[in-house]
Amino acid sequence: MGWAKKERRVRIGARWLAWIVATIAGLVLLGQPVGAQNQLVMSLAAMLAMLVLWVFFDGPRARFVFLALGSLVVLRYVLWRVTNTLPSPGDPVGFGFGLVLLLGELYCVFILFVSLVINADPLRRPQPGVARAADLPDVDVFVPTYNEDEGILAMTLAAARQMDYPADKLVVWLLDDGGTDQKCADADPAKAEAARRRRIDLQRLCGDLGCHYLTRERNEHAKAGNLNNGLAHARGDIVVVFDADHVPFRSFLTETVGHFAQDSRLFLVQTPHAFLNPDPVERNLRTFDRMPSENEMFYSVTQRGLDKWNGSFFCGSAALLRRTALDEAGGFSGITITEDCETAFELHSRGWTSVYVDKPLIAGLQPDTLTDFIGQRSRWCQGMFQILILKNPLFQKGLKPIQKVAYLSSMTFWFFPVPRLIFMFAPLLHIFFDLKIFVASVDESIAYTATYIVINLMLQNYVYGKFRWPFVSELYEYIQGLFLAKAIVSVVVSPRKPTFNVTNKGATLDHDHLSALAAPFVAVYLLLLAGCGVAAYRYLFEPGVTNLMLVVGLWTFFNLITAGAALGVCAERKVTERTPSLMVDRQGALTLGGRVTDVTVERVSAEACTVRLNAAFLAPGMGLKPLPGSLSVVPVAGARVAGPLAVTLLAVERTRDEAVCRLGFSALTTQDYVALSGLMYGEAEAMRRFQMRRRRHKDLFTGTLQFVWWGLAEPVRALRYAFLPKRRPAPADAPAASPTRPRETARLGLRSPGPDHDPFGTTANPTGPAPIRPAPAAAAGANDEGAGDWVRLMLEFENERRLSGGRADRRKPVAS
Amino acid sequence: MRGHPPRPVRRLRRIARAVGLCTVLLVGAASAQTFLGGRPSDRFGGPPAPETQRPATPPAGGPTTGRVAEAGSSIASARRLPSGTRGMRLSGEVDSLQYPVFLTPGQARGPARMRVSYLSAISVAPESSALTVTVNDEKIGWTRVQAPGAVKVVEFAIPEGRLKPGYNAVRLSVNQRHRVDCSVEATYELWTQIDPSRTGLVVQPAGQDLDLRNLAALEPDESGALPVRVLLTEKPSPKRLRRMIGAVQAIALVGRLARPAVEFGGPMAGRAGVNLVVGTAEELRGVEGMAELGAITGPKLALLPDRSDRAPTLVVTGLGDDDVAETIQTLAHARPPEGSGREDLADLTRGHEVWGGETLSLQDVGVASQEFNGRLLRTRFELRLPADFIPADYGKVMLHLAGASAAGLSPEARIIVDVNGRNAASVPLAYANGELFEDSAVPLPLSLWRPGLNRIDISAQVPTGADRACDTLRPGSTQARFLILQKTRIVIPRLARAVRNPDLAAVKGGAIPFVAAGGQPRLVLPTPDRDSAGAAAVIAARLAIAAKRIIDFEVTSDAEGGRGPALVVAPARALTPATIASVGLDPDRIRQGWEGRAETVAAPGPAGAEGILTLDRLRRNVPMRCALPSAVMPLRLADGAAERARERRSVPPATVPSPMPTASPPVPPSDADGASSSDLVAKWDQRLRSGPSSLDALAEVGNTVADRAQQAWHALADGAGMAQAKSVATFDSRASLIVAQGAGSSLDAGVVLVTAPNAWLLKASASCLVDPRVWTNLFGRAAFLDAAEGTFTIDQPEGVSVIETQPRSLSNLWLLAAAWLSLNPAIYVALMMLVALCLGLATAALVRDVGRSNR
Repeated sequence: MGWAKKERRVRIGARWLAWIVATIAGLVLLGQPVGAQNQLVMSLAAMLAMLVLWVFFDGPRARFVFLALGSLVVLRYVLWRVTNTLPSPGDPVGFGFGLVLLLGELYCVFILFVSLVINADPLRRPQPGVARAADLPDVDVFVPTYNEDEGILAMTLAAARQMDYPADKLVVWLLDDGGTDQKCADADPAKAEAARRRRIDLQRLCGDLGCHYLTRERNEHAKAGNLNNGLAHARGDIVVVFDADHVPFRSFLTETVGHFAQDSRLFLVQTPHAFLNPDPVERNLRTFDRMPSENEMFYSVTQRGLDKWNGSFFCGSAALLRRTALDEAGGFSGITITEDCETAFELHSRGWTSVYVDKPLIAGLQPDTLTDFIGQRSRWCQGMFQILILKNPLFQKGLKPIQKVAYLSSMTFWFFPVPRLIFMFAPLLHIFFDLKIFVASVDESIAYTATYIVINLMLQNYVYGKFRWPFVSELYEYIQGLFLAKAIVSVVVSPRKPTFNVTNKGATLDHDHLSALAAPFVAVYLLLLAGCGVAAYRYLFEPGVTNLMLVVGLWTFFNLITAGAALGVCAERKVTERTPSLMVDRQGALTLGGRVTDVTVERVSAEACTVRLNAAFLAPGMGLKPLPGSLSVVPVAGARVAGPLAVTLLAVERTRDEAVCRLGFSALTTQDYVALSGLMYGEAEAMRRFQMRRRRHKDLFTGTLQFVWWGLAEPVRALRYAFLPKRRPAPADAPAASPTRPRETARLGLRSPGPDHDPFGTTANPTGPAPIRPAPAAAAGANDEGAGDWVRLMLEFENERRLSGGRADRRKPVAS
Repeated sequence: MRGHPPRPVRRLRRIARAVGLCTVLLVGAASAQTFLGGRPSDRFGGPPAPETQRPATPPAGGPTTGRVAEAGSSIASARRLPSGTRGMRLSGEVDSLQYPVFLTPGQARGPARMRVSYLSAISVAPESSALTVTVNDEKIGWTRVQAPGAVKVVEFAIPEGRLKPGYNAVRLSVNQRHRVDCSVEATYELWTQIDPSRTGLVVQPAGQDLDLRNLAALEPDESGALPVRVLLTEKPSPKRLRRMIGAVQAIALVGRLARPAVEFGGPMAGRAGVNLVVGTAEELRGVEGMAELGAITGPKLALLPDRSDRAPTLVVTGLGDDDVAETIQTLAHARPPEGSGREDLADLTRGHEVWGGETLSLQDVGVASQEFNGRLLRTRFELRLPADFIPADYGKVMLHLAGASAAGLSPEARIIVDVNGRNAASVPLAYANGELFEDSAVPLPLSLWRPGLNRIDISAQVPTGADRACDTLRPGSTQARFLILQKTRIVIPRLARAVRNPDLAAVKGGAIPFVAAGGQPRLVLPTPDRDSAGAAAVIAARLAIAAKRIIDFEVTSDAEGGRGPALVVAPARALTPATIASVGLDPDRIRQGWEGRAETVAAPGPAGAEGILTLDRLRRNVPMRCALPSAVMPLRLADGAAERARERRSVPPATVPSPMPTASPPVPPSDADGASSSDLVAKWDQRLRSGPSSLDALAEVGNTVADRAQQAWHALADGAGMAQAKSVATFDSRASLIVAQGAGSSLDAGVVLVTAPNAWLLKASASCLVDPRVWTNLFGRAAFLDAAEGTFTIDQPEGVSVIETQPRSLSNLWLLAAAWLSLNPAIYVALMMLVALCLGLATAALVRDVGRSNR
């Protein structure tokens, strides 16, 4: 052992030495100020070599050579940029703006390199062995809630109760912050009444499902305080945290809990957050079914990368924590508004370790509207900056250097709005004011800047290609940037001020409209449009204007495309599916009109499902009018049999010998939730299949084409929405809706809107799920937007083809 | 001195016109006579042109302080101006030439006049053009520029006390406007050529005043060169020749500016130049005038003042060889007393010396702030870079322009910066409302610079819309359009210091192989006749000026043997094929190419064919000493000569229009408007390019990318081919002299060959070669000089060795590596790939062992 250890140490030392020598050699070579032409040759050669590596080689070595090539070119660019391109200080205005632009670029390069280090070798973990039932630790499941609907909670709690784990070792706690003593004694009698009613309802729900209801006196320290209150009552070895809208799959614990047995210093097992519904970008640009979600890059690359360095951190939900570790740290930290990261940060610096399991084991919801989305991101951004300012990782004792870098990267990442806005507006300075903030000849621009941009895109596409389409990062950054810049300023000015705002995930979206936040996006779009126009005019008609204007004009045009796509995000599409659905593949038996047949459940949401069955089973005329029936689902291995679900046949679509039926769930009781969650969340593989289906490498060419198309077409849609007749709210209905709660049984709706927001809620089907909007509606919408345009058709076709790749023999899913 | 009694003006004018015509007709036949140090009034074979005889008519609005020379009273004797790299032409709308003129105390004391003889372009409008003379920064007079047909001589009185002993700054500046055309292009037609033979300070000859401390007062001849006549009574031994050449170098160093024009032979007369007597006391016994020196007991340097039949004579002697060598050193270090006038100016005229890492202002390089109301302002200055500087793209000289442009400029207004005649940058003055720029940074890539002297031209093209109407009388026409401030900065980056071999630029800039090598430099003279030796001495003297010290050449007739670098000066026939091949030339090709010229000898005349100064040559602005008769030129061009002719570098580039008729009647506007076809093409090209077509611009960008890629590819391919030493493919049959340098990675083995068809052509061409305007353009590995025009055809080496000249230092190594990698892109790319590969593999190996492992 001693020998082996020594040998290993020598080997590592030698490898460090080799690496340092290679790095120094690279830096020395890069430091050589060779001319632009040689630089061009070098960059082109590097590009070629990278392409060859990309296409013909595989494996870690090729990967690192690829990254090294790209890094050297990027470093060369940075060196040149810093030493050669700043305007002279004799021109203070140009110099000042030039410096700002340079700092923005340096930030991006910093983030690029840090992320390359972090993601050097993302970890792939095998599933841990499962211990004997008797040896399993006691698990407490915390479901903190603040204002979520009962329907949401019912589903989460039912699923949590059904997790594959010895029942006597699993305690589920509903930690209600909406029914605290403080809330129940609210000065506003209506609010106090609502809180009291909430407390009673939830206590009943918990009683029915076998969960523990817990609330507290005062809403102190927000979510962290709520969780700590749970800690005060729970006694298990492991604490699992699920946000109220994060529903665990049955295998959640079997996939994760084993890690604790392997490492006694393990304090955290984090799993990814996977979502059933699209965020505003995905919904409004219709990419949910084909483009990986924004957070998949973080959960499938970055967290795995962090895991290698023992740096994966707690993301607030879908994670397991060791009780003793939490006790050592004094519970969940609550200084900042991102208690999750802060807690992990504390524990990492105390020498505890973390593990990340890259398997979607929960299915959650994300904010629907742009407003809520921005609100959520503002919280994350401000919270991360709070940690950065109040507990700077660089000075935190106990962290390893690489962990410091890891935390620093996660925190400084949130600085992105500032450079993004700099890049958006910098070219306008030249177009409108003739400021020269970047001094370079055309030759140099081609040799350094152009190749840098291409190589940077190649690097990102290589590392993240499966998870991020080209330029989508820029779009997300810009959308958040306009608002987060303000948030950053406010948190930097007073780091202790931000408060925890619960992200609203149930806003109404039943008609197409422009988001309330659209104004700044429109303003920026118009500004950039004017910039492009002026640039084009000046370039074409103003003599003496050089090619620089052309370059700057193209840059602005790219920004305009981004801003155009962002306008598409502001143009909120109505939600075609009231509750998000998940494709599953489960067997069951359908009873309709006294006949029973085997069916395959293909897709299920909280209010409906689609099943495939033999067409012969259906009597003629079936499906023309609602028909009640029941659905019994074959439980997954090891699960208890749940009772049959009451369903209503809503629609039928037949082919020659098969039929696809759409079944609505009516009048869900608490026990129905148990059955429904067993159906929907029985197999984690369903979620994984859904994600993997979207993870196809998007190459630079089609990705760019797609982005440009958004940039050109989406503003038109936004313009159309702007002139849609405004739907006037019906104020009379609103007060009535709240206290009487007429939809007690009907609120399957995870989407069930708050009364303040949804005056039309009462007009929707009050006794059952609203009829699923027929698919043609969406198609009609598409037609409105200039169907027949070949670019869009081509892209749609391409996407369809890719999506249906291996499933040519099966029909398209009915629900869209 | 010759007197011309006054005659009736009318008659004289008629005669003069006829004479002028004759002159032109006779030019080609070389009937015009010329003298070295002779009387310039004989130059045109007749009395001065009529204009010079007319009494001065003061221009309206101001007194003309210049007065037209009274023929005879002044034509005789003047202290001429030394020639510089800028020659004698004032071109464009605003230009000036400055000369440092060294005077002895006696000369500075007496009454003095400044005489200016000039010829001007026909396009110059006299009513709005003026020639101004400034001495030591004080204007002493001006005259209208009006000499289109014949040389006009004007004299200006210099106030008492204005001249100082030592160096005096004599500045000639013009402000010229075109008669009819206000376009930027037309400004290129404007020129005023100073006739160096009849221009200078009219002061007493130095005479008795001349002593060893103010040898710089030795006067140049009409070509601006300092004639040195080495007294020779017998065929000298190599040892003696070595001493003589050493002494010639010493004189060249003392004179600092005027390059010597060396001849071997009997003593010469006249006020210009110097006779040089070199030898031990023994050898000099019997030489005329030696008796005056008395007994020679040790190293002895003496100056015998001029006499009627003899120019000043410098005696360099001693008892033995060592004594003479010591005397030569003493001569080389003879310096005028401290504080003798504008010594800085003398340095400046040779180009401001930079070593890398400096910041200069325009003021430092002798350019003053200038407010300008014309269309094209050309500002020129010269920087002397170290001879062992490697030009490559590893850095940029930054020009930080300070100045202003007025409102109302045309959109095509811009500033163009040329380095050594190649465009380096173009900055549009895009603001229609005018602009004040404090610090407009213009990068000038180092690859355009050369070791030694570099010429930087900053041209401001500032046309306005009003130029189209071209109403020169409009009051607004004199409004300032552009301002350049002397605080404009030039930032020189640190330079990679090593010498490229072969590179004639390093030879001309710093005599590199001869001063930098370890071995004794050798001067190989296979045929030590007077002409060859004269050529060798001229070149050695020029190299000494470049090296700033005497190069102690060992004179030998054998190319082989010895271990120092060799300078071989010989007619082609005297060279062995091996010697020719050693510098990469093809012996057969040279023999064939020069077959017809081998027998060419001097046209009859007192001074051979050198320095024929004619109106035509003045018009064409040919370097003074480059005057091989055109008859020498073969009528038949060799194969491929047309292409090669296109490569020829003209000096100066493209500013000289084709010769114009000599007759001087007012020129019809249509005539004056006509530019040469190349001008027209340039003009149209310009127009088309400035057109606002985005497609063009896109195409241009595309072309740039394609070009760059192609160049890059070629560079890569070249680099990969590892540059085999190919022999020089170029041969210019018009060349009368070839300068070539052999490749090699050691300076000691270096060979610089100077050869010509025969000894006489060798001497005549060498004399042209060292003209400052010609010498500056020497670079490449082989240069073919056409001494009828003073133009080179340059052959660039395929690959060069880099040889260290400086003590090793990290910073220089760093720069050298950068320069070397810039010159060898393939190796740079290969190294980069290798490093990336190593880094990638090292990272892959490292990552497996640190952090948590995937396996």
